[in-house]
This record gives sequence, structure tokens and C-alpha cells, in this order.
Amino acid sequence: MTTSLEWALGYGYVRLWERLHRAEEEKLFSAAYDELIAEATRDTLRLQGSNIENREQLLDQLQRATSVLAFNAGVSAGVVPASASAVAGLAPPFHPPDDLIARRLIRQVRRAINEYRDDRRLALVRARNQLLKTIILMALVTYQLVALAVLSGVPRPAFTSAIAYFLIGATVGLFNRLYLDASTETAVEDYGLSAARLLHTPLLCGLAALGGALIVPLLSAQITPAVDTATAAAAAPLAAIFDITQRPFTLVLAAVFGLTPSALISRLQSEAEKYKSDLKSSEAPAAH
Amino acid sequence: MAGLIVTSPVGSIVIGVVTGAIFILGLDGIRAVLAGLIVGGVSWLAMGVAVIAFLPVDRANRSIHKELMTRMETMRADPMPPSVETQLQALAQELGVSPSSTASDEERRRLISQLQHPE
Repeated sequence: MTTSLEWALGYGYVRLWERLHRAEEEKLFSAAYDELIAEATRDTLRLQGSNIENREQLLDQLQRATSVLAFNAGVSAGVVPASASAVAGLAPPFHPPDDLIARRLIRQVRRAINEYRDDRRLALVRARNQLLKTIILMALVTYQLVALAVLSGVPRPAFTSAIAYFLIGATVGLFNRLYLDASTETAVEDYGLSAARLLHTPLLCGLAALGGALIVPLLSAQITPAVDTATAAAAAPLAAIFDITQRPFTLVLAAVFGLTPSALISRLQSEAEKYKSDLKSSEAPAAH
Repeated sequence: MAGLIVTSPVGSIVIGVVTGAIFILGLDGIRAVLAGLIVGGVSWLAMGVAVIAFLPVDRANRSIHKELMTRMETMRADPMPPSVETQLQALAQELGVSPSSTASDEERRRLISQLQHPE
């Protein structure tokens, strides 16, 4: 059994999908007529509902190839209906080289679909690993803040208040995440991206809440016109800001600021949803 | 090492949480930071060791592994050129399927014939 980091990071699975797809394309090339026509029809259905950029050209390519194969196999299933305008490459009788070209065309179309799907999988894996790196860096910065506070010997009540602001922001952020999750696609495998986002949310929202709880009282003291700078600085000392008993309203501020990263979180989510929607749209219409 | 890397997002959070908790509980200054690093580091190490069991290909992501296995087995049920067969065998090995558990040529021919001529 292979134990490797690439499975945990997700890259290994994308590589295996690519290998499986190359084998599948090779097998398709040498398949019997009936199987080839059935697979080409299935690819037609996949392309019709997909977001692949050049799907019209691929569909056209597939229809021509299927018609050649259907004619050579002596069946009517899969033959493109005769259109008013003559289509180049659709004039029977077909010869053995046409058959070979048709097979190559079908393989090319399958490869285009497979590569499209593999690219989306890789994008999901990359987004997830990038997010995990961000989490590590954010956690290290948060740790440095904690260590700085501990080393500078801040009063314990102030430290506890700061933790309370952080936790309120994290809780509000997670509630918001719950709301955002209601609109996500869960049927498509996201390679652990949603789990990484779940870890990222409380950290980001907690830090935002802490920052909001600190900045707003400091700014409001600075911009109050009735007092001079010295009075303003005295009006909001750090010890007073981080004291819930003196300033309980700061808890509300922390909750409000805990929601501020939601724009960033929803943007990350919509990006991932796009990849998942691309995968879903190019899925096979039935199990195979 | 792989376990530590995989658990590093949670591990880095744990160290911060433990340091804060130790400070609140009574230790001051550098002692609190050092104690936080040691206790948090040991917790991270324990998580890293525990997660090693979930690193093999069939456990890191069970649903993808299952999907890949199903696709591969479906492909192997049909006749195929030798080059594809070799590719699939290599793939099966990477997926953690031992050669002994794969169907013998005779059995595969019997299954193919059964599929092609159902009763």
C-alpha cells in the first residue's frame, strides 16, 4: 500500500484520474463499432450540457465521426440527420482510412472532455492546498500576537476579553458560513476544499473581530471633535478597550466585524462552485 | 514527517490556543510561551502520528478511491488491447490492489463470455 503525501494533498488522485483517462482513450480507439457509437453518443450528451468552451466544434467533430462509423457498421443509430446544406466529410461510401480517422476523432473528443475535467479537479486541489497554506500562515501570525501579549505581560482580564472578541467573531463567521453552505453543491467531490474553508473561517473572522474591536474605539476617540489628541488617547487606552465590563458594546462590534470577511469567503466559495459546476455539467449522463 | 505536514494547519492553531490557555491559567511571560510551545508541539506530534494511518491511497480520500476503483474494474471487465491492460495493471498497483486479488486470465475470459452471451 502506497503511503505518500500526494494522497493527503490530493495531487495523487488527479494524477491517477489522468492515467485512467489515457487508458480509457486508448481502449476506446480500438473498441468495436457498437461500443464506439454508444460511447460517442454518450459524449454527445456530456458535451451538450457542459461549459466546455469549444463544445460546438467538438460536437460537430463527434457527429461526423459517428456517422462514418454508423455507415461502415451498417446501422442507422448514431447517423447525423441529413441537413439542407451538404456537410463536408459526410458523403458515403466511406473507406477504411475514413474509419481510422473517425476513431481518432472520437478519441480526440473524449480526450478533450477528460482533460477539461482533470483541469477542474486539479484547480480544486490547488485551491484547497493554497487555502491550507494561508491557514498555516494566519495561525502563525495569530500565535505571534498571543506570544507578544504574553511576553509583554498584559493584564489577564484584558487578554481574556481579547479571546472573547476573537471567539465571538469566529462564532458569527461560522454561522454565516452555515448560511453560505446552504447554496453549495455537495454532490461533486471537492477534494477537501470545503473542509479547509471550514478551518479558515473561524480564524479569519476571529482576527477580523479582534481588529474591529480594537480599531473602532481608537478611531472614534481620535475623530471626536470635542477633545484634543491627548484627551482622545487617554479616552481609549488599550486596557479599557479590552475590558468587557467597561465596554460591553465592543462585543457587538466584534460580532459585526466577524461578518466582514464574508465577502472574501463567499468569493472563494463561488470560485470553487464554478469548478464543481464545470465538473457536474460534463459528467456522464448515466453510470458506466 | 508527512503526518506533521498534513496536520500543520490544525497544529499551528493548537500551539496558539495552548499558549493562551497556559497564560490564563497562571504562568507568565517566557515560561508561558515555552510551555505553550512544548505542550502544543507534543499535541501536534501526536496528531501527526495518529494521522499516518489515514495517509495510504485507500484512506486519504475514500470516496475518490472508490470511484477510481469502480471505473477501473468496469474497464477491466471488457476485452482490451495489451497496452491498455498493462496501463490498468500499473494503475491497480498504485490504487493498492494486490496482484493476487485481480482476476486470473481464465476467470476474466469466463466473465467476458458471460457478459457477451447472457443466458
